Amino acid sequence: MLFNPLKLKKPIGYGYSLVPEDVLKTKTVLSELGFYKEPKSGVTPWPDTPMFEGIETFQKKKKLKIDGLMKPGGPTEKSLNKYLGERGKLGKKPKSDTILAAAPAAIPAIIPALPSIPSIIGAIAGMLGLTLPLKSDTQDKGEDCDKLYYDVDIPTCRQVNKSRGKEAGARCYKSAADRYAACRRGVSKDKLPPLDTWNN
Amino acid sequence: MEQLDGIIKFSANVRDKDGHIHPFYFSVSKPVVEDESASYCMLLCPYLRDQAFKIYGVDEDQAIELSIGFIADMLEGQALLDDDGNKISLPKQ
Repeated sequence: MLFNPLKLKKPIGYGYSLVPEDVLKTKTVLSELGFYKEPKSGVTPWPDTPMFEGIETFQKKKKLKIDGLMKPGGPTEKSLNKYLGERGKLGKKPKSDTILAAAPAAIPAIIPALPSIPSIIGAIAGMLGLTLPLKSDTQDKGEDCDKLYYDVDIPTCRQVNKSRGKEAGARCYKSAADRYAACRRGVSKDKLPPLDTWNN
Repeated sequence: MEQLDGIIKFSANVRDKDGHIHPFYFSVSKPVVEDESASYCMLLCPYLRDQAFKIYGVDEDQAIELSIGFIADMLEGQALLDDDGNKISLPKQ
């Protein structure tokens, strides 16, 4: 076999929280099998529409349920691995010999040496010549923003909606989303826009 | 993590404040009515955050509107680009 079989950690599909390593493996396998056209920017660990379309195209070809969803151990993953194995037995060579094509084999070798998922992503991005936005530095602040939005502002807006009507509720939710985005962008708490709780 | 069908899916590139280009993708789920005073959409945007998260509105329409508005706010000072490098806008509801 030319490639390690695909072993997803989590489902790949719209609306799922995706594992970047899974995304990279999926794209690479789909690309090698001709179901994913590599974009100009290269194969990345971020999901994109062509990847989901590639899954759907493969599902259509194999007469599977066409939902763009691939679960660990599910029919689409099994079928992809079977297809991959058949191509290996036939001795078909990969379409490209770039470092990207070797990514699935390279990733397991990298993982044990790295302490965290962000580091893995960073390593993959480095292989691809990408610069990723830093998230770990703002993680703690992000949790504070989540608490403010989900535990304080949204419950407040619920009450505003119940006690002061839908228009006031809508303004409150709008201001809550504005505050959440500002907080996530790094605006300090004392400079966040106010939560609109008034019936004005 | 709950699974919800995406009703808005968008992919492009984003040029950050330092001029670096990154792949950009987001999906907004079909709104869920939590109760009579709140609805939410699940927003997945790996460029901004690893996990999908909820954005609330007073009803389903506002949940979608605020989800896209949230993305726009988070991209303040950054530009969305198509594959040819032309500036593009976020989809409207």
